[in-house]
Amino acid sequence: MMKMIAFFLIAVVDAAILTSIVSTQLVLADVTSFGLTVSFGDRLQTTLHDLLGLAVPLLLLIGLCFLIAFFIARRAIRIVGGSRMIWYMAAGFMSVPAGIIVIKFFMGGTLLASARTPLGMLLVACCCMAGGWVYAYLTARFENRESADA
Amino acid sequence: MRKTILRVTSVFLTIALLIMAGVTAAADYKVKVVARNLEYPWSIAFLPNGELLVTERAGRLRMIRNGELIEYSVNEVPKVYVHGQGGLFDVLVDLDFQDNGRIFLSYAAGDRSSNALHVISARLKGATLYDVKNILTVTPDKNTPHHYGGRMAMMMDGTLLVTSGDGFDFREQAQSLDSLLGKVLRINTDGSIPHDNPFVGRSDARPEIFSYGNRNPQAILVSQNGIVWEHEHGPKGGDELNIINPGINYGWPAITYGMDYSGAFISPFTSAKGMRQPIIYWTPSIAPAGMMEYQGQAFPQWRGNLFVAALAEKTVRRLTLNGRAVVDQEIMFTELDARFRDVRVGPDGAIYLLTDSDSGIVYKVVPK
Repeated sequence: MMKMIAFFLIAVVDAAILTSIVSTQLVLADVTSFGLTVSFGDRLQTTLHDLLGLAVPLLLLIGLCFLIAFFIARRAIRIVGGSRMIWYMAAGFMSVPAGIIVIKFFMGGTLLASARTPLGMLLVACCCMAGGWVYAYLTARFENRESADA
Repeated sequence: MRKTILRVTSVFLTIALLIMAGVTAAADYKVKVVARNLEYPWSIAFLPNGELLVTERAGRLRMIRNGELIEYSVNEVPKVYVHGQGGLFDVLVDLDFQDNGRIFLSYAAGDRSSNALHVISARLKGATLYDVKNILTVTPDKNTPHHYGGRMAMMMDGTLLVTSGDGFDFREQAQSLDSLLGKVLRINTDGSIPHDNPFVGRSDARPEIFSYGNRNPQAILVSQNGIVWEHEHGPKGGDELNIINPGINYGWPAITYGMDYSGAFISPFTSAKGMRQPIIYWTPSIAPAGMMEYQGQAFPQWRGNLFVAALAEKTVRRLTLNGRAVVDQEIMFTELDARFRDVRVGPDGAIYLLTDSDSGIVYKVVPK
């Protein structure tokens, strides 16, 4: 059980780091579109800052979304069957964008600036899909054993 | 030893006297309640006959006559989209009101998926609006209920300045001259475009634009000496006080002293060539709302000062100016413990305060 929790947290952190890095690059792309030059040093400093600055909201958002999505994926694997990897990747891909849309519905604005455009949302979804892949990969042995036991 | 005690005592006494002097100066007024139970009052304006107009964000235009809030609201106010920060915003009385009876209202219209800031002109007769005419619709429309701007001021030449917010999710459009989001706009009172607007004649720009790179301007005024002062909400930090000049880029979101609410950078830059710096900025945010230049007689010591209402800080800031520089700030009205939406000077020189609440209050500040 503890290992499963640890694997879940690794997947969340992995997705959060990727999302943060990608988000920063998208925001900096906007800044450069205004005619400003972003040096490598600026980019590095901003990326590192955002890793810390975005850590809490991203970990909470992704953690909650993954918790729900992975639970559903696990049930789906048992009921529907199919590739675990694809189910968890799909769960990762869809969960965080869904969470962002739900938050926007209630709050009226997009929590994560990079996710305001379709491209940004797609990239965030891909980062979280990677989180789903990590979780599926790490937990493969345990869930397969559970399936075999069942 | 005795000398030391005397010195310390005298220092303490001096500090106490200075503090008391400050308190006396600061409290050299009394606050009266003019009206209560207004639903998020947003703006107040004064008619030549002594009546007051108050907008409620919930979509009603109310009147205060002989110091009493009239129970019913003004008729024929357009349908307002009330959601999030959206609703009925500013009311402005035409400089020629006595001749034309005209007022201007700014408000959010539309629905969740498509809404925008609108401005109408109308003639006010009794408690009814006549000849209601839409004179501005901010485009493109948006699907967020935030950052409308919505403040208005009349320039000395009779043209109308209107602030337009960036719509929150559309901040990049503040830098786009194709969009009216995140701008200060200037129109004639009939909705036409003044021929001397800075971008008139350019095919790549909207002619209504007066300045750009503004985030969510929550106040604009034309001072007695013709300076256009504006303030705007920053994100987390970086609320700005600006002097607005035509054609100038105020930088949002390319440069900012604030951070995103998520904790991320919006831009790593606070300054850039071709982008105007604020006169001052407030970090952490005070959430400035209304603003007025005091030119009344009731408080001669404050003449020429700017007063900035603050929502988050729950204060009114009195800014002492030296030309175009802010040289001092006094924090006032903390004793009222209220989010202040607007601050205005009445024709009698009294200061009027609006509190931001579902049971908002109109206060009147007069000398003791």
